[in-house]
Amino acid sequence: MSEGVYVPSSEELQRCVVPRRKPLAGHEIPESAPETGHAPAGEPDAAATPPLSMLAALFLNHAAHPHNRELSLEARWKDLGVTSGAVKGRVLSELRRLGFIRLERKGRYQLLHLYSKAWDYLGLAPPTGEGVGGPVHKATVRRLAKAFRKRGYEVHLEHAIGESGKRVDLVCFGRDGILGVEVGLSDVHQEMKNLRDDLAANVLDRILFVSCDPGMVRKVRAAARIDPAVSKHMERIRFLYFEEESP
Amino acid sequence: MKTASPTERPGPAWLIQTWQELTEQLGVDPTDPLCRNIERLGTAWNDELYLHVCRALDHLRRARGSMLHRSDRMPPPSAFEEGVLLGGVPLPGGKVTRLLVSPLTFPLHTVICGLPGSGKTWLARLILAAAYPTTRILVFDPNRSYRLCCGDSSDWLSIDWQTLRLNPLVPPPDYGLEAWLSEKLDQLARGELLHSRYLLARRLDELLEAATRRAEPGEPFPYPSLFDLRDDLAHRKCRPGSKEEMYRESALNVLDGRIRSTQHVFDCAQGMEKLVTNTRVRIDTEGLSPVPSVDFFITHLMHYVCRARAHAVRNEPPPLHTLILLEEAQTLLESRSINITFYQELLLVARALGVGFLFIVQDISRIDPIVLAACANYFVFSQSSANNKRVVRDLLSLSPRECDLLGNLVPGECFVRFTQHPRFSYPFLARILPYE
Repeated sequence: MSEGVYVPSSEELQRCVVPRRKPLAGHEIPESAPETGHAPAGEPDAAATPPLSMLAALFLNHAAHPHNRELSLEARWKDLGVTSGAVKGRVLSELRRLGFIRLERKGRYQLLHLYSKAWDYLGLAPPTGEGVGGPVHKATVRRLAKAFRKRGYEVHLEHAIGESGKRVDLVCFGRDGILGVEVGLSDVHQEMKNLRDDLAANVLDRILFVSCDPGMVRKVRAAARIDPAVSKHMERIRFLYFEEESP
Repeated sequence: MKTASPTERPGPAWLIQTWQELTEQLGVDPTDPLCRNIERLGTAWNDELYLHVCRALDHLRRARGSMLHRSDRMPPPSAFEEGVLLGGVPLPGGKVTRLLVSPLTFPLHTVICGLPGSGKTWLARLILAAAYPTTRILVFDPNRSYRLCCGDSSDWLSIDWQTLRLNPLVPPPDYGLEAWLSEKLDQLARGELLHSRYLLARRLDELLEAATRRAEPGEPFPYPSLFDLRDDLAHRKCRPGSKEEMYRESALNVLDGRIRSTQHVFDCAQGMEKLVTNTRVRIDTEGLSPVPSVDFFITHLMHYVCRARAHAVRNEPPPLHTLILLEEAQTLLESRSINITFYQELLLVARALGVGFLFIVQDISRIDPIVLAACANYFVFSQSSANNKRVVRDLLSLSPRECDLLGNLVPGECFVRFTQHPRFSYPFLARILPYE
C-alpha cells in the first residue's frame, strides 16, 4: 500500500507504440465502400441505396448523434468545419435528393429533421419520446424540459390534463404548483385556442407561453389581453421569448 | 392547507379548522389537551395572538417536513465503522452518523444515478479521491467532468482519445492469442457481421502468417491491425454476386466505418493498452461518435483490463485492483444494445478479479436489467420520471413513502443500498459530503 501506481509520461506512451507496416501498393478502399460504415451491411437494401459522399455521410452521422440533435444548421457546419456555401449546398441537395432530410426555418435559425430513411441508412433506431411537432418545436420543448428538470421540477412531455384530456407540451410539477408550458410556433389563433383549453381544464396553476419568434409572443399577448376567457386569468399566464442558441 | 395573509386576519373559525387539519395529519387525538387548548385560544383571539399562532404553525410544518424527510430504516452507528468517508446519515434529533465505505465494496460494481446537478459526479470524484494509491483507475470522461480532479500529472494520466493508439488484435500479456482473437472477432462481428465471422477469421489467419514471416528477431512482433484487415478485405477479389463477396463487403463496410470514425486510434502494430490499463488514466472521449464506435473503443479497454488479470491470484473477498468509471453509461448499457450479454459476462468475471465498475447514469430505466442485476451497490439521487422511480423502488426495495421522497431529494442527498453489506443491507437516506 505504500507505493502508488506508476504514471507514464506522454513520451513513454508514444515510445511503446509499434507503428504499422506500410500497406502493400494497390490496397485502396474501393469506391463502393460507404464512408460511415453504419449502413445495414450485407442486407439487400444496402446495395439499393446509392453511396453517400464523404461529407454527406459525416453530416448525417453528426446529425444523428444524440448530443447534436438540438443543434442549428449553422452550428452543425461549424462543428464539421465547413465554411464554403457551395459545399454546404451540395451536401444538403444530395441528402434531400435521397429523401434523408428536411430543413425547417423558424426564427433566426434552421433546424434539421431526419426522415426514417436516414435512420435506416445509419442502422439506428429513430429517437422516441421527444414530443410532437417539427424539429424546432421538439428542440425547444427538449431544452425547456432540461431547464425545468435542472430546477427540480418533475417534467412530463405531451401530458394530458383534465377531463378533456388536453395535451400540454410540457407539464412541470413543482413544490410551488403545476406549471404548464405551451410552445407556440404555428399561428396566433391556434395558440389562443391552446391557452383557452389549458385554462378550461382547470388543472394548471400557471401557464407559460414560449415562442422562438418575438412577433408571435407579442401577438399572442395582445390577443390574450382582449380575449374574454383568457384576459381574466392574465396573472397566471407568462409570455416568454425563448431565443434559440447557436452553440 | 389554506394560508391567510396578515392583512386579512381570519377569525377563530379559521384557526380551529386549520388546527383540526394539522392535528389530524399529525395523528393527535381530538380529546388531547392540545385540542382543548386550541378551542380556548379561539375565545382570546386578536392580531398579536394570530401572529404567534402563524409562527407556531410554520414551525410545526417545518418540523413535520424534516420528520418525514428520512428513510424508514436507519443504519446503527456501528454499521459503517471503517473505510472511506463519503458522507453522513441523518438521524432523528439532528445527529448524523458517518457513512464510511470500505474499498472492498467497489469490486461489487456500483451504480450512481440521478438528475443532472443532483451530485452524481461529485460522489464519483469523492470515490476516486479516496481510492488506495495502488488502485488502477480508468475514467471514461465524455463531458470533461473529471478534468480538474484528475489533473495532477504525478498521479494521473489525462489523455484525449485521438492521442491513444490501440490494436485490438494484440492480446494482453500471458493471455492466449487464439482465445483473444476469437473473442475479438466475436466482438467485431456481433450483430452486423454475424455471417462474416468465418471470412474474418480466415483473413486474420493469413495476415498473422504473413506477419510471422515478416517478423525480425529482436524486433517487436508486427501484429496486423484493423487497418491491415480492412486493406486486405478491400484488396481481396471474390466472384461478383457470390455469398463470399457479400460477406466481404459487409465486413469491409463495418471495419471501414469504425476506422474512419476513430481517426488513427487503431493505426499501429502494437498500441498503448498495456501502459494505459496499468495506471490511473482519464480518457477524454468527447467527440468520439457514433455510438457503435464509442462502444467498441470503451469495451476493448474494459475487455483488456479483465483479460490482463485472468491469471492473477484470486482472493476472497477480492481487493480492488482496478476501478473503471463510465460516465453517461446509459448510452452503452441501454436495453436494446446487442452487447449486453458481453457486458454481463465481463461484469461477472470482473468481480472475482478485483475489477470494479462504477456506472454513472441519468436514466436508470434505460439500463438493461442484466447489468443492474450484476451490480450490488446503488447510490440514487433525486429522480423525476415515474419510470425511473419505479425501477429504483424495485431495485432498492423502497417503501411507497420513500419512493415519494425520491422526487424531493435536495442535491447531495441520495438513497444508498449496499446489497452485500455484512451489517446493513437495507436502503437508507444519506447526505454526501460536504453535508450540513
